[in-house]
Amino acid sequence: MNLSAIHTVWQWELRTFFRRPAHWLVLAAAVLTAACATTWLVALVARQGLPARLDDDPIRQFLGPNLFLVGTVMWVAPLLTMNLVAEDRRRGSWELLVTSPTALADVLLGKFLAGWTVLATCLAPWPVFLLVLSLWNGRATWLRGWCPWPAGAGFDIEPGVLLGGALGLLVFSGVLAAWGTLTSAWSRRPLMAALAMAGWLGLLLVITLALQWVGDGRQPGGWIDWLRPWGVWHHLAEYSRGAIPVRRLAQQAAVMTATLWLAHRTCRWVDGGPR
Amino acid sequence: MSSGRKRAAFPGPKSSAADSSRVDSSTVESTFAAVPIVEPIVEPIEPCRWGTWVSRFAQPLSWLVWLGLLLGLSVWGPATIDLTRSRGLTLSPQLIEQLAQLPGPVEVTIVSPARPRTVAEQAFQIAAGRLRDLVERCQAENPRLRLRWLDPEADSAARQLAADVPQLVIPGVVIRGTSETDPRAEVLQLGQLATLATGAQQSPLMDFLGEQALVGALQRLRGMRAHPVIHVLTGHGELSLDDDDETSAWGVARFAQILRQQGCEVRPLDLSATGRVPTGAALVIVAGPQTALSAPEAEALRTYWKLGGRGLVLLEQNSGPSGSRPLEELLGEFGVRVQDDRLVTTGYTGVVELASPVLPARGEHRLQRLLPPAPLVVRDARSVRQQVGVEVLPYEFIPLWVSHAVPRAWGETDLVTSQAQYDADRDLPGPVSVGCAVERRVGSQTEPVLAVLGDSELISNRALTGDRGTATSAGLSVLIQWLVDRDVAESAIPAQRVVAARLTSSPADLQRAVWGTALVLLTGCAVLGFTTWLQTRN
Repeated sequence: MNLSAIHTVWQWELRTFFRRPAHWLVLAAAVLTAACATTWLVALVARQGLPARLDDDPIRQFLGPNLFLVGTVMWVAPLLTMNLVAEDRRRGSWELLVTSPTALADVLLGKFLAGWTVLATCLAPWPVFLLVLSLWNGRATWLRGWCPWPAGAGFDIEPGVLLGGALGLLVFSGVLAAWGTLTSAWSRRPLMAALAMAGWLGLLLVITLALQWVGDGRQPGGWIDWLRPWGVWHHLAEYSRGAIPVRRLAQQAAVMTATLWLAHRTCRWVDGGPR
Repeated sequence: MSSGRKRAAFPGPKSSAADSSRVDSSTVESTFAAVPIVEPIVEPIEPCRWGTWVSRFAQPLSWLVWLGLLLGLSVWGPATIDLTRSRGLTLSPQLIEQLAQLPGPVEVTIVSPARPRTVAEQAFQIAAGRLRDLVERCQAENPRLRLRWLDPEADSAARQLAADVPQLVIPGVVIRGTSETDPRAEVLQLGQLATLATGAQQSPLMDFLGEQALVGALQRLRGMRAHPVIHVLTGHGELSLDDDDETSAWGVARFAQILRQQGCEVRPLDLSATGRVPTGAALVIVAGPQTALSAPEAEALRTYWKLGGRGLVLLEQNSGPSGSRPLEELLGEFGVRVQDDRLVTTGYTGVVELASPVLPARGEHRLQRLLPPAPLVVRDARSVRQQVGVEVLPYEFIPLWVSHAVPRAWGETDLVTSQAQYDADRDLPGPVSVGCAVERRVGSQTEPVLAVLGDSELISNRALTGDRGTATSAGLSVLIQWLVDRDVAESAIPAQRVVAARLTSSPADLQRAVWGTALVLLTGCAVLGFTTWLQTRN
């Protein structure tokens, strides 16, 4: 594993991403969605009810599986990861890359890391808004008579929830970036990669909704136990409770590793011949 | 440029005298064409065995090792690292110890309607939700703890469970082993799981006690403690342990069955024969004696209770107004004053009712919070009050069940006349306490001593199997657990305070903060995007 090569590919991919005006539009849309969700959060918290479960707490749900976040990820992840390999193939620059003195694994790792970074950037507004509300209640005061300063905190937020939720989003975006790398490595056209990724995410969403519909955890045993690991949206809730679920984190890291290995094999298969 | 210099510049193995003569007579182009072709020296490349080995074996192996490490961590690693300030997601050492020692699968069944209608059901729903979270965290430690949620309106299994576990009051939680041969079951009600209150600015808050309730239930279920031996006093016309007729008001076989389901051992006790309460007795039940206790028997009970023993006393009406009453005197020494009266309750039309409903007393004591909210029904119950005297007793009096207020209910002192009429001078005005508990102060701690109920019929077969049977069973179970299992119920596990998230500013202010931040971020995106677009165009 050549770290220098990985770093170069990562840097190159990031430049490609951020030099596209369309990317800034995607980022702006992600910011808008997060702002709308935060406004909804304020309305929910204003109701002052005791949540039935820990995961039903609106602040914990904000960084967990909520409609706005799921919606954002559902369209942002395919859009941002579809170009990772497929776009290079379409433009013909993929051959240059794979014939350069860089290992395919390094190229894929660099691209995966770039996809992860960009995806994490798009999800960053969520914890940022929560952090702002934990520090600022919307009113300003004067510090030493001349400097405007936040008058107080908006929410009494458990720092662990913010930390755990942000970590959960980071890890989750890593898993998505790995899946995106795989689908992009599988296809020759970015559109196909995006459709495959969206289909995969849609399937996982259906599984999550099905689990919720049957009342996950109410009855032990049966097919629910088999489906539960695939309810990936619920995995976010394990972080946003305010904890680091070490076993889940290891599982997700294993999934990332296995997916990247699959992407490596897929590239060999699609491009033809060993490298 | 001379040909000799060129020859020197392009020396080659195939240059000869004939070639040099041709160079002399040709043009510059032909000169270049005549440049001898230099064949590359092809040396056989030794295959890099180390590199091949690395690419073929070491890299896949390192991937596999890494994957194996991750999978190992995902199975045997720590479940969670708690980041919260209160460490509310960390299981207590007591619970971890209990989970580690579970002998077999244990099922936690929450029986609650899917759509709560009453306030109590809503409160239970919140507590049960927290319990579900707790059980899920426990499952990470030991997957043999299972969770089931039953809706009594939709699941026939819930009705079957309610029939199997008579002390269950819905909504409630049943904890029992999955073995068919083990009849033991533990029931947790709302009061044992959580207490709801109102905090600052009328915000709701809840103290979740589920962890300590679960520890206690698992301890009792596992029978980790020796089976508490409960003695039932006999020889004075008390309710009989042998009478198992379900309609009998004189038998306590049903109550004994509930005690056995809770892991207790029930034995009769004849103090006239033994002379003292046997060593190791966890509790002595005095179930409505019809005749007075003898002085030595009362002395034996006094000694037992004074030395840390515990008692459940159920009273009967005195057969006559006069005579020796050693039991009442004995209770007086523990701060309980038993009245010679009977509780009378009138309906809204003013007609005296045959039975009187009594409600759990409201208070901050843990036992009061544990009592199920359902009312009990008593008949001709005697009132019990706190003994007030010059001497300060080292006992705390805790009222448990009280009647309605006067003029609807009162303690009628005229036991001769059948027609009850409230007399403000003689009768005890309601609300009248018909059940109480007594704690002994030991330094800053307290320990249970007695529970006194004014009506012995409360533990009879008829009371426990009738319409009000489940409420009565639940109330008595709580009382027995408090008397016998106090160490567990009030263990060192602190309650988890659940507070609803609240705003410290108006929603409009907060939304201003949100959209102000969004504006800054969007402006940044717009500026950077426009700059990128300009660069791309240029």
